[in-house]
Amino acid sequence: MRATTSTIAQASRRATASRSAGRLSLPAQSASVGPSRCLHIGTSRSSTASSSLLAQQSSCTKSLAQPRFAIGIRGHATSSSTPIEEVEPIPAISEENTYDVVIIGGANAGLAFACALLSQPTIAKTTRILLLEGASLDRTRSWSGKGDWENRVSSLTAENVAWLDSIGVWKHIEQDRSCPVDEMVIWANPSESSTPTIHFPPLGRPMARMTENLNLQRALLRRIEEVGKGVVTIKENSKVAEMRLGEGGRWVGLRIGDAWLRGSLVVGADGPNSPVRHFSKIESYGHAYQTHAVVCTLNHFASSLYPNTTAFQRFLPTGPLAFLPLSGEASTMVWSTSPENAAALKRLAPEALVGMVNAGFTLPESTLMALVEKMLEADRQGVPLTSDQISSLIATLPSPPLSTDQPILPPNVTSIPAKSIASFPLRLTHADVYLGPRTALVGDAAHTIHPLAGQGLNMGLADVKSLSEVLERARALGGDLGSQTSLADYPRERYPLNHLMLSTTDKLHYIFRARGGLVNWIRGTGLDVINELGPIKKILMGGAGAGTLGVGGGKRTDEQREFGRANATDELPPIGGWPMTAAKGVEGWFALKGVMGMVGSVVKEGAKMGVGKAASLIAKK
Amino acid sequence: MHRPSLPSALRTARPALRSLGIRSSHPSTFFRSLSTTTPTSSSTPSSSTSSTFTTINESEISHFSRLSSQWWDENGEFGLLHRMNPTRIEYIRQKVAFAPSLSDGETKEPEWTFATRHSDSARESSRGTGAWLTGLRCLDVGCGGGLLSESLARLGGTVVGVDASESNIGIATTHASQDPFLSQKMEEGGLQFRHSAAERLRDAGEKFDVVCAMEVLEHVDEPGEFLKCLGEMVKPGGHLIISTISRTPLSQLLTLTLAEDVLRLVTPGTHTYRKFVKPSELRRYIYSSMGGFDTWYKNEDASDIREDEVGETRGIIYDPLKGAWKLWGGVEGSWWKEAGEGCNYMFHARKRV
Repeated sequence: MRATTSTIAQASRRATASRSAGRLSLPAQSASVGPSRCLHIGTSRSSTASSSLLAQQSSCTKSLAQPRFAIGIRGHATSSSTPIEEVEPIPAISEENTYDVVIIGGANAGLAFACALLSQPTIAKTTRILLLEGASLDRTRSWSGKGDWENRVSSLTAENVAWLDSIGVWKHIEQDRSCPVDEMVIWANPSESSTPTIHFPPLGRPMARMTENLNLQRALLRRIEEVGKGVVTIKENSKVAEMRLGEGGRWVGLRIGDAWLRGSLVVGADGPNSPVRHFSKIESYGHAYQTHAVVCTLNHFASSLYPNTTAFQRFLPTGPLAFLPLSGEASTMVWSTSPENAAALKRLAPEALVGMVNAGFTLPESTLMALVEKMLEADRQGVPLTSDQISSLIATLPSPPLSTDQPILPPNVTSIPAKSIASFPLRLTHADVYLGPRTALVGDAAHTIHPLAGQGLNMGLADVKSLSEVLERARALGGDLGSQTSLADYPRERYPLNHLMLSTTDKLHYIFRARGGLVNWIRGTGLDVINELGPIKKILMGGAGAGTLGVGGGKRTDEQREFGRANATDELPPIGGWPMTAAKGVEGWFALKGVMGMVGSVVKEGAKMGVGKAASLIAKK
Repeated sequence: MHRPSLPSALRTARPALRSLGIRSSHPSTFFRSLSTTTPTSSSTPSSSTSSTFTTINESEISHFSRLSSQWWDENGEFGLLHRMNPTRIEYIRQKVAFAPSLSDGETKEPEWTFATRHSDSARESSRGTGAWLTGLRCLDVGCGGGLLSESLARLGGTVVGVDASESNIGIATTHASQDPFLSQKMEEGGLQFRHSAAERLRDAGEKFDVVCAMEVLEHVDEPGEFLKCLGEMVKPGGHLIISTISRTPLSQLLTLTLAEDVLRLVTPGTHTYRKFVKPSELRRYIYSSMGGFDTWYKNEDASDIREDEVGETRGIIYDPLKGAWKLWGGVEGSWWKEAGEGCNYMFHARKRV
């Protein structure tokens, strides 16, 4: 193997050199199109060659064929800005360092992709997978599942929870640290008199689960350790220094330090600034929202009335403010707001931030905006507001009377752990394509999204699920995993859906920020109408992650297949919908027809008898 | 108990054939008449065992040699073929991996019980996963750039790819040797590309578990002799799998008019209408001239009513919206199934142990 690789490398270098020389010294040949050039030679030879020249000729064809591929690859890999002559050849790579799939990035998407691949029978039986992570995974591995809450929390839709369960990951999740979201309240308060609200009531099963990223990552790691022995290799603290397409474009070489390894397919799960995307020369488009998100953990008292399983989101002119439950006494906050506001909020003392967050959820919009102005003013002077100042400001600022249609509000926040406060800028990006030369992008490497719908991680999980299924199909049919033919279905499945989600979220962001008489009225009426229409709400919830309820249903269990329900003693599910209505209508019509017929015949008989009797009476007379 | 052959009047009522001036549609007659009317045939069949005789057509070979550099361009001349490859392998998988094991003459299926009736689908879905060709010797006749051979090798098969074009073999060898996995397999002898005619392999006495000839039948002289040669190389219990194009107005429209002349997806002149073979002709020829049911298994589906036809054919059509080929469904013997075989189709037959 070592020998082959090196000879091919040499052949290609020769070919490259001869090509660059050939442009000058062989005008007749370079006049014809590149690819067909070597072929004309090949053909004329094969038509004249006798069979005794066979061996010679095949080696000749081989070396002649080489530039053709090199040209093709150069087309892809123009990314390597240095001229090919100056690049040192990739040394021979041993069988041990040769993998079928190399995943770059050991965060949610990368780890989930490894688990997804392990759940596919052919992939798990026939491939070698490598997961490269630039940092150490020790913090994830040793996360205790107790103590302080992490500030990076994600909402996992019911659909993705079901999928994680089916691939054997969910059982490793620390269940106490994953909070179901049963209800959702979304509101805005654009003017003093109106508070348009949507309240998604409980469905009987959680719409989503709030789970710390570390909790999910630890579960994914445990699953890999459980079933991935001999299939998935994890290399931590390995930063990829260089990526280059191998000779013939049949593999991608990766340099880590001084060592090279290679893979047939490289999957970029390496986040928004994806090096794999840069290597693949894939542009991405999008825009920065002039918005930063401030996140922190909120401590509050447990309500005696209801469990803390309701998510709240208030739309402010600067962006949404979300309250997401973590447990009875803790929740997490995402406050998307202007960069100055975010910086000022971060500079507040934790006690003062408590005051601002409570004000953020409860004050009328005009009062809140005035309070934020005061906060910015104090921040500019270098003396951030204290919690006492905030409470006195709230008492003194002019406050309109609260409108009568106030929504349910989240519990009063009592404290915020200082080290949980963080902020990050928000961007919308979408890669132009998901596939490069032997590369594929998943998760944040392919797209980043505004967090207002909580769909970033969910889109990433849907990506890895789809890609793993595509690769399984390709592998079971002997496909080359990195080839365009094998991968073509992945963008076909995911690109339109991701784009729809990205653009919807983007529009929602702008619609909910806008303030103005007409916009307020349209939005308010729209929200009220949606709130009143059950079916639309159900579809929205289905689309927003309730999964199993929306349109269509989940897979039935064996028991359900047996009895038509979960247990034989359960009541039969009610049958409804238009087919039932139609059936009832037809049934009713037949019943009516029958009754009318009976009544009619009785009347007819009676009439007949009456007439007959009358006739006989007359006849008697 | 073979059914007496149908009245010849019924058989000859085939408009497409009549339009070609071919009177009788008896398969052997068709295959013979084809060879005599082929202007490009340079060699005369002296005897099927002669080592000098091949069914290779020189002009076809030079045509494909001219195109050989484009074999691995997934968006080029052979782009449609690249997309067809997974679907062809799916057919092979259904026929080879799902076939009952014949090691002691009986199938190894677990006994059906009422309690395990739901696990049938799970068991079936696990068949044909992993390296399902492991231990099988496969031959890819007319391998071209090695599209099918590489896939078969990746699935675990011991693969020999032969092609009559030397430049094709060069391309296939180079391409496979650049793949990390396949280059190792080539060194171990699990994947070989040989510049040879199928007849030479047959004369050397080579036998295979799976013999594939994908899109070759319509390019050779003497398709009958070619089929006999393929059939002889199949081991007892092995599979013969062919894909080719039918001779119907539909195939005229799709493969010649549209793909070659109008859309130029394929170089004009790649196919010749006259050389296309109909599914029924193929099945009947193998019945009448290649040993019939003494040599080949009878089908186990509804097509077993055919007393004078061997093997199963299945249409394979291109879905331009999905950009993929799919195997045509339909009940055996129905007009729907036959309609799907109007253009490209697959053929499978299994040799008796």
